[in-house]
Amino acid sequence: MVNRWILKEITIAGFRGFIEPKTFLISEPFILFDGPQGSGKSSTLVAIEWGLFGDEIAKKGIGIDERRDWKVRNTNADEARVEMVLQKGQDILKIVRSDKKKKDTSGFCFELNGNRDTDEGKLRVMLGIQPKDFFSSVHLHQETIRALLTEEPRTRRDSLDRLLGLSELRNIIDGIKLAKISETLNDADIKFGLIETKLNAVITSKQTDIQKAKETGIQKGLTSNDFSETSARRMCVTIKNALVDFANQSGLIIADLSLPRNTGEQQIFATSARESFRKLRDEQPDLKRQKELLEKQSQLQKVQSTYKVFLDELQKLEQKRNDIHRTDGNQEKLQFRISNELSPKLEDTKNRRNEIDRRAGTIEEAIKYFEAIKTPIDKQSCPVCEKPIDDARHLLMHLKELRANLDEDLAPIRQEIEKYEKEIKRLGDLIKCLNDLDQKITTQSESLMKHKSVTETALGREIKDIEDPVVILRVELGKIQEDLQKLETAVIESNQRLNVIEDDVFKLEQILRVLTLEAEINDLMKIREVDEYKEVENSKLELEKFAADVDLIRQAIETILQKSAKAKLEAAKESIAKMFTTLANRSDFPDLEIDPERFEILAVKGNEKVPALSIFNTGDLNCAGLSVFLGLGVAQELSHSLGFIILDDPSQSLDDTHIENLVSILNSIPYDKQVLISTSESDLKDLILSKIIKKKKRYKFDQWSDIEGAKPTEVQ
Amino acid sequence: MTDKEQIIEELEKSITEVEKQKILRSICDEIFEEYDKGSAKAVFELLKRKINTLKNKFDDAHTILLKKMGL
Repeated sequence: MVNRWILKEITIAGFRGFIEPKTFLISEPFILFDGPQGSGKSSTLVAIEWGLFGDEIAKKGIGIDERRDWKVRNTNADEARVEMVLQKGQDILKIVRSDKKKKDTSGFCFELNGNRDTDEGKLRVMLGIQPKDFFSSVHLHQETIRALLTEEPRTRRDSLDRLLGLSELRNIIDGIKLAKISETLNDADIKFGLIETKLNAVITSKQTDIQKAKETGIQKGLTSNDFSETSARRMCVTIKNALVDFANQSGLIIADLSLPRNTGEQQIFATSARESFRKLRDEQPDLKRQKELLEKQSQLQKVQSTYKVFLDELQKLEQKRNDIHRTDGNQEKLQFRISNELSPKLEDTKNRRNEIDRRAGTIEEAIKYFEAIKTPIDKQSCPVCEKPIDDARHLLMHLKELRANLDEDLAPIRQEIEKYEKEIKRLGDLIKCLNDLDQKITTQSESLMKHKSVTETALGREIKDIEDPVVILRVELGKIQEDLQKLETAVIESNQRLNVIEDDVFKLEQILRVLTLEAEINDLMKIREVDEYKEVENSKLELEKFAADVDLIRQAIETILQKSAKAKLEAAKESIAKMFTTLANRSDFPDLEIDPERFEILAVKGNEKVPALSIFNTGDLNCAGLSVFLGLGVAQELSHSLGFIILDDPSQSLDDTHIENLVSILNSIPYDKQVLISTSESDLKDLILSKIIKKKKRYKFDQWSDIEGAKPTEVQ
Repeated sequence: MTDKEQIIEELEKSITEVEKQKILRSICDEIFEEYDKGSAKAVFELLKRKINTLKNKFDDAHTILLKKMGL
């Protein structure tokens, strides 16, 4: 017989349904709490949990949904307090837990044989149970029964684990799985595999580059045999000699070119040779002179062109002035003609016109006079002497004839006046034009003089007044052209020599590129031998070792878990089956089993086993749940040290027959397992009182009161 | 015998090498210690921390090697 903790006494005050302190003396093996719904029976049972585990019983992780927003202390009490006394053999354990309103603090302590302690962890170690396991293996809760019978394997598994006291191992396995070590390992494997792929890709790329370098070199005149270190060395000698010869002949200095001993030095040599080559190309004397002359030529051509533009413009202006002088004379002559010739003639002609104009005016007035009078014109008197005029009409006719004659005389005079005026204006315009030309010629001459000094600077010599700058420039440009022609041949020859050197440097570079790439490929082929590669291999090995170690541990935990589950289920197998047979009393599937691997409750008939979920009704399923709980609860192999089980209203969903059968089962629970049961059903109460043969203690709960709270009474 | 002791016994059945046994026992101790502190999440965090350290070491070595390969 296993020695476990039995409840002896419990005092509850201010806890949930309780207000005033109530003490239950419960050392009997069977304790019955009966009374109507809401009378405080459940509060009594829950007080045991709270006393053992405190507020943790209301936490989400416990999995009891109805505990959410749970109030521990009764609103009418200043303090919730539970005191419990448990006994195991000679050991007495007293547990006190409180929750005070004022200080809003909770108190906890326990005494083992009078030794006080406040470490909750120690108490749990001593009892061998955690809150989660308590709900499943000590206090039968309806939610646990439902979880055992759900279609969700994980929920079934968790519930069964709790019943079997295996939650810890299962949680550790879950934690290990959650770490997904294999995924990390897989990632490392992929990365490691990619090294090989990348290696091949790099080698292929370098081989392509070698091929390209060889093709380029061959196009420049190399043969396939030239891509060797010997050939590169020979090429270095040729290049060095050519560069030194050219430098000496040109009077130039280049950096010292040491002949290389290996491919690395050859690379440096190639770079230096290219630099020396560039220096010779840029600084060769003939080319330098050619550049200078070309610059001089360009400068003089520009000066010449500008000088010609200035000169042409000046000549045009002078030509125009000479033309006017030739046709009409200079300003003095023109002014003389205007003043002494044309102006007097114009004056004279205008006088003649005025004379005629005056006579014509008188006649016109007379004509107007006669044409304006209204009396008969033949009886008119003379407007001057007032003597009668015999025939005024005749006079008017003569006056008109006279006016016509005068008009004829006036026409040529007017033409003459117009001719003189036009000529005077033309000559005036010419004077203005000549003055303007004089001004422009002066300005242009000054510009030309200024440009002359520019030309002198460009030529580097003075130009005398008697010399023609245009001719001097032409002669100078001619000389430059001759020099350039001579230099061109020299430059072409030098460049040809330099081009040969450049080609050799280029060829050397191609050879060296091939040699370097070949060396790199060789290094890559040997990459597995380098320390860096070994480091990757070793670190991967460490990773694999750790993963393998953890997996070994996981497998060992699973093995122990399975073994333990099997052992416990095996131990409780008969008990579970017996309880189910008694409780459900089914003829088709009288027995019940639990598959420890699939975590499934099976209905059994001989050799036939089917999932209970597929054939049982709600009442049968509850019977199955109760059987599993009670079967395991009474089994001696359970891991915790509590010697009591709590059944809170276990007859829910059970019919009369099942209830009767439940009482039979309760009777079969061993004597060393204390049973605490609550019920609101009078049938179950009566059956318990009449059929349970164990020594019992009954507490009857009256209707709950606002003032007193729960009202339990011990019934003898 | 506690669960941990049973597990170590189970491991020692298949692993005879003493050094290896020591390593496994050490990991086991750490796992159970972490579990006692904070359940499955603590076990997950412990293992994740350890595996990440090893993975980072591998990744660093991998990066250095690729650099050497000219990648």
